Amino acid sequence: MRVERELMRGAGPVAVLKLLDRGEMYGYELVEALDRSSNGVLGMGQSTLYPLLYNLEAKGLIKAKWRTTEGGRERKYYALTDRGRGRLALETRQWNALARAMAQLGVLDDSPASARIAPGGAA
Amino acid sequence: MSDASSVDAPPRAESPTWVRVLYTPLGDLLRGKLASGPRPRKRAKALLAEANLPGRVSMLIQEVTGRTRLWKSERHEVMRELIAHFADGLESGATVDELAQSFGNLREAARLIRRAKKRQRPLWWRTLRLGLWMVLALIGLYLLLAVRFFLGRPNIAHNYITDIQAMVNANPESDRAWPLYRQALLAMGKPPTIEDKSWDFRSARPGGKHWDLAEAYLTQNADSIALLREAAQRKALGFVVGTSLSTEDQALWPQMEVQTALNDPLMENAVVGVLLPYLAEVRTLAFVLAIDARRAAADEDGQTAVKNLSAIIGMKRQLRDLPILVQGLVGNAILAMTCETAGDLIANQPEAFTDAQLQEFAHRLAAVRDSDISIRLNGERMFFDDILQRLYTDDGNGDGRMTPGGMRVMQMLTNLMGDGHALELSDVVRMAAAPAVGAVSLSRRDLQRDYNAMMDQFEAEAARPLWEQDVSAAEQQIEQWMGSPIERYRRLPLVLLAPAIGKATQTAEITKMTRDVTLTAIALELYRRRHDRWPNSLDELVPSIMPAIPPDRFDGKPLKYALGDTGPVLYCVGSDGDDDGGRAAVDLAGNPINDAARRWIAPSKRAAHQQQQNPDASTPPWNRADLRQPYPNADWILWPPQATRVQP
Repeated sequence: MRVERELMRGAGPVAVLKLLDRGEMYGYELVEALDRSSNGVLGMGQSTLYPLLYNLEAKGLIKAKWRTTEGGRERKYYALTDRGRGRLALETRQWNALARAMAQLGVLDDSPASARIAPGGAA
Repeated sequence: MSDASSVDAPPRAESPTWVRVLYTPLGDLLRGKLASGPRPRKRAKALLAEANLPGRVSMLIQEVTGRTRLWKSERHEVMRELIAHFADGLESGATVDELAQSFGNLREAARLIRRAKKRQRPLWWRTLRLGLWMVLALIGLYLLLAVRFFLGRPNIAHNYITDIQAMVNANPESDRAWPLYRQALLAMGKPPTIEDKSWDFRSARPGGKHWDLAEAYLTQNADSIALLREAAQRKALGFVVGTSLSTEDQALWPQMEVQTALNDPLMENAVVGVLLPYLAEVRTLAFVLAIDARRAAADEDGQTAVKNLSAIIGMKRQLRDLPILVQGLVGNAILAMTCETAGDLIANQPEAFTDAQLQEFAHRLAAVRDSDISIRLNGERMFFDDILQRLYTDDGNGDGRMTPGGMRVMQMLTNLMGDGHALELSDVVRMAAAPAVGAVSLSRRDLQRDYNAMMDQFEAEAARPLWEQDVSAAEQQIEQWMGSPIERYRRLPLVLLAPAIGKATQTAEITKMTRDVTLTAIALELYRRRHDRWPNSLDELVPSIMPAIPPDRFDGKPLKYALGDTGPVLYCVGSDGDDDGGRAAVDLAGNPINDAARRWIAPSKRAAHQQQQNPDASTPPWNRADLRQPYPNADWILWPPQATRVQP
């Protein structure tokens, strides 16, 4: 399932920061990881990913470094900065709060609220 | 697949210099190439060729990076990354189609990449860019201002000269004195002068220097002088003002040129262009009558003397027929001259006049009320309204903005008045700056409001007697505006055209006092004749000879009187504000310098002076060079006439 663009605008950067929290990654690797880890929900094309990475880099949340692979090719690896870690922590808290609020509203599946307001009004 | 080595091959020796420079480090710098990695940067084509990617992918990469329109170094960086990305993709087993499809929209990608990369640019670039945008915005705004400004046109809706002429034409021809004055002027010609100009007809006195010349002139023109007396009895002066002379008046001033300093289409029929050459002529005629009065008194012909002096009073009255400030000032000046002449004759030739003649003159002089002497500002207001309609647009609601023509006229007025604050700028600079100056100038409504407030203040100050006046708040406001370049240019029409009211007000008050002194002098003479002595105080004159003791206009208390060995003295407290018992001012050499004490000093300024005063300054004589004592510690002797020139 593809997510609306507006939602991706908020989720995409957080997802990238979270992935980089595990360790440095290069562009194609990030594309694959986003797609795989989110079952395709947060999959984004390169035309979206690279601008996102440049924006994060401009804000000082990630840093980039060129490395030469074993095969002699160049790759640009991205890693989280301290500032990026701080932002990730903040975003994580906010997303958790949002998820809890949505769960209480019954927006999220299998939440107690969604059971109370099931069709027919039966509890 | 391209040959990377040929792309990076150095230029041939016969290549142009600029081509060879491009292959140097300086060339790299000029092309915006900065080192961005451990390996030396290669040209884009060489990079793509070296990557050995499928053609479709290479084209995709080339198209995207090209569309970003980034700096070369940035494009290079993006290309490297995309090359790495597609190489990784191919290495992981994805097909070219899959990779191309998953890349997304090329245009959108280029746009997003460009936007994101620009955010990584250094602070100085972003600041410069912001600055350039602001400059462009300002230029755009200025262009809009300029368009608005240069499209502005004034609407000259009212002819104020017609209003003034209507006042003149309200009097029938038989009530107008000017035709007779003109006739007399044409018959009399100019008063006599001498070649070295060391003598002026106006200073002629019986028995004095060059009196023979003056007497001959008066004798030759006796009929014309009689015509002047007749004319002075008419109701109004009746000069039809305008920007050109009537045919009849051209005979009087054949050489007169219409003022060309304001030769501008906007100033056609402007009040500022009204010709007033008659004022100098009327003043000359008043002098002729006054000197003839002296001649008559010397011949003990008091009747003629009184008739002449009364005629001058008639002229003064006639000069009130129009609300033109300068006309009123000339009227006051000739009245003051009449009073001084009368005072001199009463002091030195009283026997020339009978009691009845003195009383007749006193009645005529007493009929000149304070309101006949006080300045009127209606004409000035009219003048300003006329200027405004020529400088500003008219939105129909009393508002408007400065126009290009208006600024042109203001520049002409500035030059005409010799304004020392005017900037010397080229025409190009003026034109470029005009919209900005026009934008900061006060609107028509605001300028009118400030002008009206200033004039109301002036009128309120002028309505107070001199002893209740102080530094003019209106003049202080004008000085404040003049002191600030911004405020000055915002109100340029106002500060340029604001009349010097303060001085005119003070002069009017002193003219009133001069009138009163002359009446008191007449009363003293009549008392002396009745009682064969001078009164011990002015109280003895009241109410049998005069209704009340007039005020000393410098302090508001009764006019001062002292009786000494040499006779009576009427005086006022003078510049220092103190009653010194009638002590006249003298200089260090003992010469009388009565006029040194006649300057009115605002009480607040006098208090400031007195704080700095030399302790020894309380005693005369007055040392003019001593700035700690800007005025003498003496009284201003009003009658009998004293030495009037302040010694240099």
